[in-house]
Amino acid sequence: MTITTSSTHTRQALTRTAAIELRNVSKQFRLESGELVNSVNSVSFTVDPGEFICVIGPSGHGKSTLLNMIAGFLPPTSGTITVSGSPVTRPGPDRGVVFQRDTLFLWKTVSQNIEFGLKARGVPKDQRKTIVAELLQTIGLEKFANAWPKQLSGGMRRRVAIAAVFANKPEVLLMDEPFVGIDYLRLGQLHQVLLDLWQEAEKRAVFMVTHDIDEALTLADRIFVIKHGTLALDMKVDLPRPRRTEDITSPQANELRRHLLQEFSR
Amino acid sequence: MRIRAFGPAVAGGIVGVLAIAAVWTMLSATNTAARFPSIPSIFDAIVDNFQSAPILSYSTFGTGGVWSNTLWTAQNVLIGVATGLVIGFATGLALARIEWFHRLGRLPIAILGTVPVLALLPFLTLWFGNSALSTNGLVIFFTAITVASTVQSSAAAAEVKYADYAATLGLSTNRTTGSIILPALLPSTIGVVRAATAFGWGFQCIAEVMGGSQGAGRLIRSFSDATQTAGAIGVLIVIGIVAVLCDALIGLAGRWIVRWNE
Repeated sequence: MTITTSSTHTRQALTRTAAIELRNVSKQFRLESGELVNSVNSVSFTVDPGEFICVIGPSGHGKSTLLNMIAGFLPPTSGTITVSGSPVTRPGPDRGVVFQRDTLFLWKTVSQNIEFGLKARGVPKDQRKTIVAELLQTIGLEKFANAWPKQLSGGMRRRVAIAAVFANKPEVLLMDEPFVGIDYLRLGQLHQVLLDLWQEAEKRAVFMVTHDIDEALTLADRIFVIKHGTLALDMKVDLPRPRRTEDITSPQANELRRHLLQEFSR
Repeated sequence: MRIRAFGPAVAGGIVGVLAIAAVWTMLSATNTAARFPSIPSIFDAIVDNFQSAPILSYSTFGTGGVWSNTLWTAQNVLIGVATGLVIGFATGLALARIEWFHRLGRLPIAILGTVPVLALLPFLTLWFGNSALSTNGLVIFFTAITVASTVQSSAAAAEVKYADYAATLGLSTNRTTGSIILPALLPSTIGVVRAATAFGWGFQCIAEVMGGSQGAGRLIRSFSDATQTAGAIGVLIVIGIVAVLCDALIGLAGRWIVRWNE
C-alpha cells in the first residue's frame, strides 16, 4: 500500500504531459443571499495518461463541481485546468462524460447511440460500423444492436452509455456517479465492462466520482478524498488486477479501507 | 396488453352507445320531434340529405349535402391544425433556442395564451370577411398557441437533459437542435396535436354556425333555423364519426413516428 500526498504526485508527473492537471483551482458560488461559498479550494493534482482515479467524499463537498470544471461545464474562479496539455475553456470531445442521469437518445437504436459521436465527427461509415461492432461485443449487447433504449434494463442502458462515450476515444473519461441505483450483481458486470473498455482504450485516463469505497477499491489506481473542497487524501491503490472479491476483502485492501474511513471521520 | 384491453374497450363502447340510444328513445317518446326526434328519423335525415340538402338552397342559396359539408369542415380543421402546428412549432422552438426571440416574444405569447379563443371570432370575421380563414382562424390560433407553449417547455427539458452531453460530443448549436432537440420534441408535439385537433372540430363548427358560408356548422344552423332537429343531430353524428376516424388515423401515425417511445 502506498499513500502519497497530492504534492508528491504532482512533482512526479512534472516530467510528462499529464492527462489532467489542476493547479490551484478554486470555485466560488454566490448564494441567493449574496454570500460567497467556496465549493473547491485551491486544489492541485495531476492524473497520468491511462490512470483510473476514483473521487470519494461527503456529499456537497465539491466532487461533482471538480468534475464539472474538468468537463468544461463550469469555469473555475481561479487556477488552471489542462487536459493533455491544453487548457480547458469549454466542453469538448476530448473529455467524454458519463452522466448520472440517462442521456441515451431514445429515438436512436443501441447501435445508433454508440455511433452518434463518431458520425458527428465525420468518421467514415465502414470505420463506424467496425468500432460499434467491437464495442457491442465488449459490452455484451450484440443481440440488442437494433433495440430501442426503452427496451433495455437500467444496467444495459448504462453499458450503452459508457460504450457511446468510449467510442469517441476521448483523452479522458469523466464519470459522475454513473452506477447509482444499480443492484450489486449488475454492478459487478458493469465494473467489468468499464474495466474491459478502459484496458482496450490505451492511455485513456478515467476520473470517476463515487460514494462507494468498495467500488473505488475495485476500480481505482488512485483514490482522491475531497473534503470541504480540498484534496484531503491522494491514495495509491496497489492491489493486483483483475481485482476479485478476495482482493478487495484482503488485509491489504482492508487497510486501505480503514485509512479512507479514518480520513472521512477526521 | 393492448390487444387484451381492446376487446373490453369495444364492448364498453357499444354498451355506452346503446345506453345513450335507450335514454334518447325514452326522451323522444315523451317529447315532440322538434325537441327529441326519434333515432330512425335522425338516420332518415342523414340518408335523405347525405348528397344534397335542400334546406341549404332555401336558407343560404348554398349547395351540397351532409357529406360534402362535413368534408369541407374536416378539410378546414386539418388545414388549420397543420398551419397552427407549423407556426406553433417554429415559435416554440425559437422561444426555447434563440435568446433574443425569447426575450422579445415570451410576454406577448404568454398574453395571447390567455385570450379566450372564441372571443377572437368577431375579429376574424371583421378581418377576413367570408373567407375560410375567418372560420379556421380559431383552429390555427388555438393550435399555434398550445403547440408553441408545449414545444417551448419540452425543448427546455430536452436542453437540460441533453445539452451537456451534446457539448461533450463537440456538436454545434444547429446540429444539437436538428439531431437532438427536434426528435426529443416529437412525443409531446404529437400529443398536443391530437388534443388541438379534438378541440379544433368544436372551434371550426362554432365558427361555421356563427358566420360560415359552408361546412357542417353552417348546415346545422340551417337545419336548426328550420326546426329540422333530426337533420341537425344527423350532421352532428356524421361529424363525430369523421372526427373519431381522423383521431384514430393521427393516433396511428403518431404511434409509428414515436415507436421508440412505446
